[in-house]
Amino acid sequence: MVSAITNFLTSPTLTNIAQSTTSSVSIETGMKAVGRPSFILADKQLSSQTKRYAATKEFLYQATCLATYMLLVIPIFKKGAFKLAKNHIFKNEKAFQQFNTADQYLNYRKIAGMYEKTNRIKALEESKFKDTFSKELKESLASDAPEKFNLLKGVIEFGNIVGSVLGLAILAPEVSHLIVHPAMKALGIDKK
Amino acid sequence: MAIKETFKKLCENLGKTNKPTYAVMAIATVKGIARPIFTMMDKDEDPETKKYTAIREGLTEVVAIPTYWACGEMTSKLAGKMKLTPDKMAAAEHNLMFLGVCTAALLVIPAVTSLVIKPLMKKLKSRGEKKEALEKNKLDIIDKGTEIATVKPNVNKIQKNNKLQLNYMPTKLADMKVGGLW
Repeated sequence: MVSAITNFLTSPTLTNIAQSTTSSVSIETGMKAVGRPSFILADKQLSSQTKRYAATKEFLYQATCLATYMLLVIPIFKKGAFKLAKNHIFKNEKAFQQFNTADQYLNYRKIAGMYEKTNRIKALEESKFKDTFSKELKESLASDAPEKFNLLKGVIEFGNIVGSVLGLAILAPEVSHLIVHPAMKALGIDKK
Repeated sequence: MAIKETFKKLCENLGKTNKPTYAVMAIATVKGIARPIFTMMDKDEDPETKKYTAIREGLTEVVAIPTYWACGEMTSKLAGKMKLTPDKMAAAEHNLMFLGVCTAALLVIPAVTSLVIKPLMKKLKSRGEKKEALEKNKLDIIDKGTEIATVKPNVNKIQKNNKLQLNYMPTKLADMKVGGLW
């Protein structure tokens, strides 16, 4: 039991999710979509009709925020930040010359994060980006301590944080404002 | 150049350890500033409703920021109780922090919000309603006073003027009659 918990807490998959702004923010927004309506429904001081109205509104608000975030913010900011850094800000950096896209780097980073060398070699064989990795990158993955190219990861995460802030604090609430009321009317909850 | 170097260092640090608390705290901070501003800018909403909505939105984020940080930091400390190699220890600390942030979003923040913000908003609302009722009473007294003071004398004046005009006209007509037109 203890070893299962330890394995879960040190798992590279969980580390990848926790290290990625987009994954962690998406999961956290999903938690909000479940947690907040549940607390509204558990409130004993409110009438059942008020609870139903407020809980549905909160759920729809969080769900639209999540959808807007996943559909608009993630693709634009993740790819945009990588391209901007590769072609303009850090165009002379050797690290950026090794990778063509953000997805290619993130796949490399995922493999490099594995603890065992044998696991890394196996994952490299199964990777869809295998043929795009240079000989140098393949050798790095097969070494005891693979290079992680923290600058690239940082650029992608910086773009993701900026996108998350703009998307979830400014854009998504406006989009959900347009969607929530018509959706509630369609569900028969909002009768105004 | 200095800005570029600073940005490079920032990105390298972020790439090395991107704590799960960074993004959620940044989002909560901007939300805490932007949402109340947007609410107050809404021209269709009643000013009192706007005020209470803006306060509630701002307070929710004020509660959320330290809660995210505290939950993340406290849960990451639990990794110290496990016997792990240094690289696995770093991963466990990071993953526990992420789980702490998730717990904050799922349970702690909604619970704190309903325990702290709801009663506070109720108090603010009842205080606002009392103030509004007092102001309404004051306005009623002033309104009645002005009605008595202004409208009644005006009516009398008009009646007097009309009478004066009516009294004057026949005399004038009478004068004309005398003058030969009739």
